[in-house]
Order: sequence, then structure tokens, then C-alpha cells
Amino acid sequence: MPKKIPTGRVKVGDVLAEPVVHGEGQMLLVAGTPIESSHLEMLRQRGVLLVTIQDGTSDDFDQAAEPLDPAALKKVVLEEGRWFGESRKHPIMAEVFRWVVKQKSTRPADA
Amino acid sequence: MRDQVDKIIKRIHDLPTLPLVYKRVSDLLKNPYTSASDVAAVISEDQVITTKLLRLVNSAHYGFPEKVETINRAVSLVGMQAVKDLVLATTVMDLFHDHQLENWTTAEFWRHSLGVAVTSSALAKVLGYGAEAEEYFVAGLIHDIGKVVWMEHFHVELFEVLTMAHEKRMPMIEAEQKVLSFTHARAGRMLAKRWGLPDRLIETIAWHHEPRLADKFPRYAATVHIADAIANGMRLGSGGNGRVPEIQDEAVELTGLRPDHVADVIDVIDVEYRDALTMLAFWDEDEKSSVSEDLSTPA
Repeated sequence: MPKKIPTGRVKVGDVLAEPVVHGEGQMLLVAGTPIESSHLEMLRQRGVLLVTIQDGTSDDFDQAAEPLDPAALKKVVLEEGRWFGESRKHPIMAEVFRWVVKQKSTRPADA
Repeated sequence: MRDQVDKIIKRIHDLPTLPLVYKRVSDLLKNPYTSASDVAAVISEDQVITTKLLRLVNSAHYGFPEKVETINRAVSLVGMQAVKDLVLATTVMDLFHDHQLENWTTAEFWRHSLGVAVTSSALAKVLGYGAEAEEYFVAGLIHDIGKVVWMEHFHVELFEVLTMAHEKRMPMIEAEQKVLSFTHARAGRMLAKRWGLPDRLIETIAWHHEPRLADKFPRYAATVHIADAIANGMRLGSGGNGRVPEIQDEAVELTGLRPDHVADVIDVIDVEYRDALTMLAFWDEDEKSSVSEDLSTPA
């Protein structure tokens, strides 16, 4: 399964699962490209933050996770809701809230 | 109240100055004929700074494909201005003692600062600030430097501030105003001026809670303002707040940040933060003297 990882974590030999397209629509690398050292430098210089690579070709950034049970999820939402307070009404912080709840309501399968 | 304010101002003037190497690099950069080798030579004289700076440049934050082995190479890769910022970033943490209050520690404070640094820089990148993006790292790192004044000299008052913030679920700055009649933003601004930091950093420190009041560099203050809220939400260290601070609409307008930008970079922030913690290892007890405080019953 393809996984999206920060460019700083991509290693030489990783294989792109999706093309890398610059913000202005310019195609930088096509899907299936094996990453070389020069690609990493180019991605860094172009300010590309994330790339999607084929599974099994990099580190364990996106660990397999399983969801918590509904009661535990409710507890996470309540706790984080108290911590975020009114701030999560702002769309920017609502996005952060969603991410935090998602992170806390899943756990690595081997945990 | 006047006595308290005078006491705070006096204590700010008692705080350490920045290491000589920062001033020497700053002076070098005022000369248009300075080369990368000149800057590297000055930094290389300090082995501690050299080691920390190389660790940072080799972190996922920069993502260079090959290991950077020398300061000369680091200067040529990230640029002289950015290296000057990195010297500040790697030295400022060592200027102060490692305090462990019952409800806060210096390490938690620096973790929060590092979280805001990584977040500010990631936002700057996703917003297309270009080469300027690296300058947001150090702006985020020292945005709360005024809190160091409380850590170093006002433990009893700081304990009271933190207790109030947590019990009443309020941002720390509101509790500071009630307890100290002085905010960390004001204290930090005075300290930054004393250190001779650039205006963009002074304004970020002074106005990261009210970015619309920034005069010359409102985008810095606004970006760090948003990064501060995001880092708090993600619980990257602890800034001493009783809840996540709210984002001001003016800051969002100033930066043009959208929710989808945040969705794009939040995983990057998470990874780069954890990586930067390891690389800087600023909480290493061997590197600092430790001062424990028992303030369970504040006066």
C-alpha cells in the first residue's frame, strides 16, 4: 500500500507510488521512479514537503494501527475537546483537532 | 506594582548576553566581502556549537541527501544568513539553567519552543515564503524567550501563573498579566533588544500574541502566532498554557493560510519535531546544571 511520507525521510532507492507535481502544476517526477540522490536534492530545493512512495521501500513512518474502541475514542474526544476549548471552532484548528484525535484514537498494532 | 515592574526590568538586564561567536558572525555578515569560509572559520573555533549545528543541518528538517560533515559545507548549503540564525538557535538554549518546577520544566519549555520552530518553518514552506522560510525556524524557537525571565528569577510568581492558567483554563499570557502585571512578550522584547537581535525577531517576540500590532514584520508575528496554537494543540512540549490559545482572524488573513495547508504539513511537523528533539538533545542532563524547585505551596 502506498504511503505519504515527509521528503526528509525519503531514502535513495525508494520508489515513487505517485507522481510528484510542483505547486504550479509542473511534473517533477513520474510514478515508478526509483529515488536517486540528485532527486532528493531537487525535491528539497523545490520545497516539496511530502511524497508518496511504494510500501516496503522506506522506514516505518506509517506504522500499522488499529482503532480504539468507541468508549476510548469518546474519552479522547472529550479530553482533547477540553484542551482545545474554543480554539477548535476556527477551521485551521479544527484540522489540527481532527489530526490529534486521529493520532490518539489509533495505536500501533504491536503496542 | 511599580516595584514589581522595576524588579522585572532589572532582572532582564542581569540575564546573560549571547555568546561572542554570535556577535562575531553578525559582524562578519555586515561586511559584503565576507565569504562562507570566513563564517565557517569563526564557528569552527567553538566545538560545542559546531557539533550542534552539524546535528541540526543533518536532521530531517533539512533533508540533505548526503551527510554534511563540515561547517564549511553547512554554510555553503544553507547560506550565511541562515547559519547565523542557527548559531543563535544552538546557543540560546545553553545560556540558562535547567529548572524543574512542580508544574513545569525548562525542558518542556524548550520542547514547546522547538515545536513552534518546526511548525513555523513548515508553515512558511507550505505558504511559499521561499528562502525566507528558514528564518521562521529561529523566530519560532525564541518567540517565548521572555518566559525565561520568570524561569530564572521569578519562580514563586511563575508557579502562581501556571497554577492559575491550568485551574482557570486560560492562556499563560492572561495569567501573567493578572499575577505579574507584565507579559513574557514584553519581557522578551526587552531581552531581544538588549541582545541586539534583528528587528524581525524582536517584533515576533513582542507581537506573537497580537500580530496586527507588528509594525515592520507582521507576517513573521502572524505565522508564529498560528504555529504557536498548532504546536499547543499537538502538545509539542508545553508552553505553560491552560488551554490551546485561539487563532486571530487577522493572522490568518496576513498569512493566507488555509485548512488544507495544515492538512498537508501536519505529518511533516510531527516527524520533523521528533527528529529535531533527537538531533538537538537539549534536555541532556549532562550538558546543564540542574536546579530543582519545590513550590507545592506557593507563598
